[in-house]
Amino acid sequence: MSPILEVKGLEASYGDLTVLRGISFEVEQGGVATLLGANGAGKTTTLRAICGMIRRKGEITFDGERIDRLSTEAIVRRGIAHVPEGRGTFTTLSVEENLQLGAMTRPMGKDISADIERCYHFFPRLKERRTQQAGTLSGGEQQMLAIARALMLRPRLMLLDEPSFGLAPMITKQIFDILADVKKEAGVSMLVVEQNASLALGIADHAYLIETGEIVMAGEAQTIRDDEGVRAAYLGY
Amino acid sequence: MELFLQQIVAGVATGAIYACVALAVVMIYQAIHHLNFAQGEMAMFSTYIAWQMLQWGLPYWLVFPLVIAISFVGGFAIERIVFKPIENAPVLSHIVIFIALFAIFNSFAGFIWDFTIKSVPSPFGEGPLWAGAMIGKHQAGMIGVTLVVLALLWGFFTFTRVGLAMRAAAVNPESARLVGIRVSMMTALGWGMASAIGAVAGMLIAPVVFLEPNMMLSILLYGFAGAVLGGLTSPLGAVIGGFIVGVVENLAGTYIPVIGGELKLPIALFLIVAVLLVKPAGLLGRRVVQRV
Repeated sequence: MSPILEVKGLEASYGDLTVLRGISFEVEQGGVATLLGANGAGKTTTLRAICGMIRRKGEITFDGERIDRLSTEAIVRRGIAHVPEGRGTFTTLSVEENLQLGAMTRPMGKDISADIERCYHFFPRLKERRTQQAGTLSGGEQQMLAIARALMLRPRLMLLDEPSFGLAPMITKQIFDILADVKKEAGVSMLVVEQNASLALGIADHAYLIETGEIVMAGEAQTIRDDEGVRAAYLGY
Repeated sequence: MELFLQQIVAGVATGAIYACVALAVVMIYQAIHHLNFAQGEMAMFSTYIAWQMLQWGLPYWLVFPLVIAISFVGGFAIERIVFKPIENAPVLSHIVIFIALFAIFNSFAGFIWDFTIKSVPSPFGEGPLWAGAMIGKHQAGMIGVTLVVLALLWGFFTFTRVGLAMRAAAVNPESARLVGIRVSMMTALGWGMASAIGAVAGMLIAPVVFLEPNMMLSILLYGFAGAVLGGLTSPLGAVIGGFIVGVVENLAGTYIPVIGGELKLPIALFLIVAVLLVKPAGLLGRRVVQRV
């Protein structure tokens, strides 16, 4: 089966500062790939480049179609949901309004309310807080909301930027368990960026190691996990 | 007591003018997070278009919606043509353009329709609402229209998808893009709506203050004070704020001898400063609550 996302020779820079030096990787249909690397390696930039939030060079193919010239809105409409770092919820809007916004590109109708219910099934905490302003939620709840909002798009690919960002280990584990469920139940492909390598490798099929804007290692998640060098540098045991 | 009541009612009537302008101010503030200095001049220009159509003999209740539609398209077009290209420019560039628009609309109105004062008829008729009433027919109509506009806005932002998208784009443009909202289109829509509301305000005000190119100068200031008082993010707050400014202005003019008729304008400025010092979010403005 051909990959759902194929990135070839992706380059990006902020002004004079080159952040990505031609990286290539892919995400399989229904699979989960993870980009691992230290702070400043270019992980977040990679996701932003895929979504067209920054200027980029190189080939990005989504489901057989080149998307590297499209605007962010057009890319989203093709079924790529980005859960940004720091969650990016609409803080002054209610939880339910945030979820409705996730389905903004879909035709109006009953399925949307059904999908909101499905999100509440994955995240019961959000149901309790449905009328609350998103900004009043705890960090973990906001992360849940951001993921739920992404699901409302009925995405074929989800880009997750540091889902563990600023969260207690317990909550982080909860969120990754839910992501594993989402992968199984909804068959959504995912590209996960993480600093917490052991968590990410837990749900990923493939992993890519990125260092100062270049991919230095790629392979099956299992292989990467067993690699001595990776263990010492990223897993700490 | 009689005088006091009378002044309050008169204040509410003028307040309706400010409330309507304040609504337009809130609308544009939501869309661009700036105040558009040219807002009043745009409204004045719309009113001239209405006057011209009335001169041609079109019936008032045809002219009214027509001018609102034209103003909407005009506001939308200004955003697309003038502001879209400088989207990422610093605030000062925008301010320079606001001032330019101000001068352009002001001069063009004078150039096309000259500077003599024109009278615009009231669609609600002259005279008091009923014999002996403290409030005139036009004032009552004006308050009614303002409340209808407010209700329509509320319905639009609460129940429609586009309304929700506009609010989302205002809160967090980047995330709005990530859910597929075309943010710059929302901004243009905000411009169109602000311009349309301004047109309503202009057409309602003109029968009271007479039509001339500078008619909105001080009114925009009062409207701005109303919007700040109500909290720049809340349409309901803007309307309440507008009414309060009208009442305060009238009472101060009557009971504080120093102020009289001439010093009324600084009251608006005083209110703005006072609100910003004491309660910067305004009466109904949303304080952003953020847990991290």
